[in-house]
Amino acid sequence: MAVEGEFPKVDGDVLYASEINSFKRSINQIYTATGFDSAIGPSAAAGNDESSVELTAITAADLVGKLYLKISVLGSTSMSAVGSQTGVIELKIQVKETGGAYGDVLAYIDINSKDVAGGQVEQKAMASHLTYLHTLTAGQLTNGVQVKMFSKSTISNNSASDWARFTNVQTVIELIN
Amino acid sequence: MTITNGQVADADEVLQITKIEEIYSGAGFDCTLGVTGSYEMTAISATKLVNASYINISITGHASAGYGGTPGGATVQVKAQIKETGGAYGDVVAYKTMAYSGVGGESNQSSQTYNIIATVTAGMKTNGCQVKVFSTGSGGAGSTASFTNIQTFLEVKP
Repeated sequence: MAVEGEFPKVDGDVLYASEINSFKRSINQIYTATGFDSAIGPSAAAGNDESSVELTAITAADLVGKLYLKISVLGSTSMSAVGSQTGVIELKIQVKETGGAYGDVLAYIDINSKDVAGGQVEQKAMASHLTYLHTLTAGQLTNGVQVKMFSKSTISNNSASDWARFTNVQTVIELIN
Repeated sequence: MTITNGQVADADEVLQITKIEEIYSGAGFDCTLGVTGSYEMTAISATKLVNASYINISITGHASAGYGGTPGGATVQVKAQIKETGGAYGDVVAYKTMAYSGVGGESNQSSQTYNIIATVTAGMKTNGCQVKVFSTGSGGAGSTASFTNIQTFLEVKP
């Protein structure tokens, strides 16, 4: 007989209220604020702007029976680059066991970037949707877990036509069995 | 699957609520210009499809398209196919563009997630099923095109 919180179960095992309530709470949190927005330019020195935010810690009690965190980011991006200049907008995801240290589960990836040759100005704006599945560790299941989101916007030139920015629309943490 | 109040639910009915079947982060269906990549995910047995209605095929990857000046531009596309075990593959969705460049000297890159929902047929429930994912890069002389898988997973849904 599987005990409370033990999976998989077989026919005849008891399904506990805490487990079925856990199934019900699949969406853990929805973050719509600007904590990890980034923006640089126009008319700014070449370089980058990087921001990050720690999402609300998820308790071990909420992780009973769970195997994965599904992290979904919906954001909007805009960039412009003149001549042979470049612009890059990147996202990164870190996770830590409560009481531990953050580590990358998804190192920086560019979600919107471009290089332009010649003298023209190219502007590129798009909605970006990214979903990433993180496998929960034994320590995270025991102690809880926390997610930290990052964005970084980079330009290589200072002009009125060079910029890069990321704006979070909705970031969702879903707990998956 | 509908469980009513007071009914005894079998374990398979409860555990089928949502199930991640496979997470693939390899390079098996990466592509370059003029080269199509494809990868067969692990077959899903019929016993894992009890009460299943859909399979979410989630593809997260990085696409890059650079235009070399040839008419038509440079394009990177992805698609997913599914088959009943023992049957033939068919497109769940045909190729969809993930990156395109049509301006001389321009190179566009982005990382995105495509969620493609496949309906589980009666035959799949009986015989199992398998998913195949593809990427392809096209363009003329001097163009560049590539797709790099970051994470592709299959999620069985009731």
